[in-house]
Amino acid sequence: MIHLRDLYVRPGEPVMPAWKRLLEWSKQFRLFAGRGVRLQRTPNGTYVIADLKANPWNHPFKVRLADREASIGFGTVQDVVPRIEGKRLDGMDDKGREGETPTLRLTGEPNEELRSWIVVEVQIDPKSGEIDPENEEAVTIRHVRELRPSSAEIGRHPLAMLVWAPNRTTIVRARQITHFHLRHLFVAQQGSDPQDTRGGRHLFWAT
Amino acid sequence: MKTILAATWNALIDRLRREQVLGCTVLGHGGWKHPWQVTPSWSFEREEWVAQIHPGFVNGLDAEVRLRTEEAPLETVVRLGARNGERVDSWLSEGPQMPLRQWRSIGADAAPESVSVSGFETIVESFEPVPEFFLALGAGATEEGGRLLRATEIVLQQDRLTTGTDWTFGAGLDGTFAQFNVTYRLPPGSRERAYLRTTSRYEPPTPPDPMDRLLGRWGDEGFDALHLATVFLLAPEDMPAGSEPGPDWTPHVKHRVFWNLVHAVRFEPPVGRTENLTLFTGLAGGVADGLINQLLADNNDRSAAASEFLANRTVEGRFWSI
Repeated sequence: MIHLRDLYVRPGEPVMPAWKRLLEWSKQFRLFAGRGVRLQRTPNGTYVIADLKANPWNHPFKVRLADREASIGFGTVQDVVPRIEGKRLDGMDDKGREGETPTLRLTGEPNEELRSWIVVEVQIDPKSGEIDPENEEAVTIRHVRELRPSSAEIGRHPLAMLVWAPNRTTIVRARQITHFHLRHLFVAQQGSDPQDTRGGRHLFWAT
Repeated sequence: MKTILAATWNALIDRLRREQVLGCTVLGHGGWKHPWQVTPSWSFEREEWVAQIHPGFVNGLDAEVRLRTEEAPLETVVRLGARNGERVDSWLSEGPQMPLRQWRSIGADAAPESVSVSGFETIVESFEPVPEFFLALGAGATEEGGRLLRATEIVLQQDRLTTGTDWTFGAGLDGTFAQFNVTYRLPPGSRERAYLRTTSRYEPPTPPDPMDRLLGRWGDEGFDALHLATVFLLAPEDMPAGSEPGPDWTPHVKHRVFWNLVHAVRFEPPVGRTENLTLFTGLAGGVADGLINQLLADNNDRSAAASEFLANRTVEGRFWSI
């Protein structure tokens, strides 16, 4: 690589060696088009057009909207596959046969702030404080207008937030919140009976 | 050959002309952006640097930015029915442009971080080091000159209950007692949602002095903070020291958080609740400070009991990603 200081000349110095250095240095100004980049060359200069086609990332629990329905990408909570209206998220039936993946109907209205959420709800076994994988209703996906669950036995975790238009009937866009499979832990309230699920917190984290 | 032919000379000029970049167009296709992704830009309307932040969520709610109504997006103004001159909290999903006004200098024209005196006459100044990335781009260390560099920090904060301590004293039938009180309160103006603020320099909160906590002179800050990103601005060449960042400066962002978050406190006591531990000293009379000193210095058992009592009752929050 040529050092910029080497390009300068002193009065009386032969110009040819400096000229050759200048020629060598000017080669670096050649533009090369990388991936997704087009160069439009003209005699007066070059236009750079970067066509950034992003690769879609099909992460767990990815929410896609289609009018008043949403499809949710495969994801698990504590290795349990959530269900939408009784159907497993991966479309498999209880005998392991592949079927259609369920969609979530976005019924109801947003809250006063024109927001609603697609959430995964976890219902724990009151005795163990854990998810019972045999219970088909233990992990479900719902559309709700508030994040606070109806009872302490139910843990609610947001997958995406929906932004509604002021007419309260059109969903403008979905904002994804969860990008990974989830783990879940129920923490009983300090001092309370471990089997008393009326007090306690549901903690979710990415895995 | 001792001369340069005009054709040769012109060929070089032609090549340089062809290769000069006249313009650059980026065709976006809704590429994926991570939560909290910061996009700084110069606002010609407001004549300052601003940052648009891809919505990030804490506990399922997008964080907010406090702005003047004139700076807020229309969606925020309509939602709040705000009037000019008011301060409004704009949600990130409404697309606010957060002003970046608190810059610190790094490198060429930076002020020293600390000054110490060595011996009788030597003054030693220490400066924040210039990140290697910017050294490669021509930003210089303090003594060397070079391109100017500015930085500002974007911090996420979540308000929560504060824990405070104090002592009350009294005389019982069988001696003096001291009551150690732990009080929880919600600071005035606390916000439900997490919010973003900028600061010229981020300093993580220092853990409180255990002795101050026990002496009852302590109350925590009432929020948890997370350092989201640093925005750097690199000046063009030959900008004079002390220059304000303008539209011809180049922004760079160092992100520190890439995912949505959950925030929770260790436990949630009711607001206004006070819990106390009563310690019987057996000492008659006595001045408060003397009693505390007695408790803390001479009576390890009671001091440990108070420490444990406080440790189990201090509200502390944590963020984690989802």
